Parts: sequence; C-alpha cells; structure tokens
Amino acid sequence: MGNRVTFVTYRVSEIPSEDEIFEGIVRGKIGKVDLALGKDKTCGFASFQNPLSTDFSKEDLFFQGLVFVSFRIDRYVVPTCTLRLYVKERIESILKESGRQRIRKEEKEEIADNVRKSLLSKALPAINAYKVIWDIEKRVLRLFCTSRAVRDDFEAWTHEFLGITLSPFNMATIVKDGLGQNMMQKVLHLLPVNFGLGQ
Amino acid sequence: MSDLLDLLKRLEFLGEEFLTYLYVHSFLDDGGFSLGDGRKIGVVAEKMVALEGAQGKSDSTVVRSDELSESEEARIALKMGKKVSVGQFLFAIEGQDYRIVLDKNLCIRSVALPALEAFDPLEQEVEVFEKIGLVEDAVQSLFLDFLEKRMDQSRWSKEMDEITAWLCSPVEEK
Repeated sequence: MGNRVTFVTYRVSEIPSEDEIFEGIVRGKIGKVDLALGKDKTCGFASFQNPLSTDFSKEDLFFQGLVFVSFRIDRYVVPTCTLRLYVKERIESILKESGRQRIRKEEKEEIADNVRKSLLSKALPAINAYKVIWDIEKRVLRLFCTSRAVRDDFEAWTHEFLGITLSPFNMATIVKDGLGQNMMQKVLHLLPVNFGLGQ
Repeated sequence: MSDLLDLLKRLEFLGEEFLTYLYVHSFLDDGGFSLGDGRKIGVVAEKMVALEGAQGKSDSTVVRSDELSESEEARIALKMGKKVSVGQFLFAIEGQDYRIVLDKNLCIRSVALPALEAFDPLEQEVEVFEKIGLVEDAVQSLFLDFLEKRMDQSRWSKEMDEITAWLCSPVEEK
C-alpha cells in the first residue's frame, strides 16, 4: 500500500464538446504576470505532462475519454527581509544625495513599492502546478490539491474559460444525485439520534 | 452552489451518524457490508478517529491507536453521546485495500491506493483516477444504504440495538 493521494472531486454542471474544452483551455492558459500593474500572481492552464509548457494539442489533452491538464499558479515573492534591506539602502542613498535628515512616511512607502516592483522584475516565480483529470461523459473532475485558495482560483477559472460550474463531491451531492424527490423530503425530515448511553 | 451548501449544513448530523455507524459496524461481523446490489465492501476503522459532541470541535476527542476496537477512550466518548466527525478506514473493494480518511461531510480527505498495475505514466494516472472513483462509489453506496436503513423504523431500531450492545460490551484485552 502506498501512493497516498489528496484531491477534490467535482461534479461538473455541463458536458461541453471536445472542441469547446480545447478552445477554453487554450484561452485560459497561464499568462505572464503584469508586474507593472503591481500584480504578483497569475494562474491558468498548462500542459499536464510538462506544466512549464502551454502549447496544447488535442492529442496531449484527451486520452481514453479523459481530459488531462495542469492548473498552474505562479507567484512572485520578494522575501520581507530582502525587501527591507534594499529599501534601507535606497533610503540611505536618497538622504545622502539630497542632504536631508529624514524622509516622509508617504515617500518611504512609495520607495518601498518601487523597490519591490524592481526586485519582482528580477525574481523567478514560485511555480505550483496541480494535476487535473476530467471524465467528460461522467461529469466527474478531480483536482489533485485540497488548498481552499487554489480551489477557489480553479473554480473561478474553469467557470470563466470553460463555462462550467463545479460542485464538490460530498454528502449534499450524493443526496441530490442519489435520491428522488420523495426520498429527499423524507431525509430532510429526519431528526438526529443519540447513540450515547446518557452517561 | 449555495443550495448545496445549505443542504450540506442541514445534513451534517447524518454524516456524523453515518461515520459512527460505520465505525461501530466495522468491529462487528468482520466489518463486512452487503449492499442491495449484492456487492460486498469490507470496512475497518483503524488508527485514528475524531469524535465531536454537541459543542463541535471545542469538545472533540481524537484517538490514535493501532487497535481502535480496544480503545476505551473512543468508546467512552461514544457513550457520552459524541459522534465520529473524521475517521480513518480501510475499505476492501473488489479484493483490494484502500485506506481513506473520511470526514462528516463525506469528503474523502486522502486515499492510500493499492499498488498500481499500469506501467505507462499516463495509464497510471488513469488507473489512479478510476481507483479513486471506486472508493467514492463505495462511500456513496454505503451512505445511501445507511439512509435506507435510517428511514426504516424497524431496521433502524435493530441497528441502534446493535450499536448500543457493542457500546455496552466489555473492551477485549489482548
């Protein structure tokens, strides 16, 4: 026994055609981070086999009736201690050049922002790629990650680019999919029982 | 989506009851469950169980033991009216063992899969996908089977008697 996996399974709202899926994935591929606009994160689809690639072909995406794709999140980070040292150096240089003794709080914040942007442009992003496998006909999709933040980004992204709504596999989807209306009403009228022995 | 969240919240107590039923039954009759369609699924609670009382997480009991059936602590928590909120179970499906961590919303937090048969990496991914599907199908079938019992007064009364009898039985000591 090995191979422990963590994942979230979704029920997919629609069954899009292969063409629609392919076009949606290409449109929703991961792009570059717009650092000039102060953004430090980007996300989107990438190749399943090589998450650094966004060159998709139908042969890579579709296999045995399943869709294979990665959901990638790139994040640029400047460590706080590194930023602090560079800001300090920049402020000292400005004070020396201008002959001033102090610097205003607003100006300090602006310097920190500029230094951060400058460092971000030289930084390499931290890349995280999560496997996604989707059985189109069965309307079952699995994202191999359980982080709430990643799930939120993924759900929003698939909705925007693939036009699908994802509902996590849980008791609510089991009851909704597995019971008829009559049974559902009966279930909703059940009251909790106590297994305890009153101790 | 908010409808499903409301439904999930409303049914939360049934998830706890189901896990408690699964937990206790896993120590009875070798933990075998026969489903309506003839399938048999073996279930054994093992290594970890979390139990919550009416106050939720603030009065939870977490028990870790290699022999949960002999855990006095878990049994006392159940006798006090606590219910299982998260449990680790071994599921035997079609002759293969899967270790899963299941919570009261019936979300599978993780699965340890049996050895894969496929050799090609992409085919291994397909096999993992299908094996997870088998586990989810087992959870779904067991839960729907539980709901049928739960809504049938005479069958549920028998279940409750069995659970109470197990709770009152002495803990076996090795």
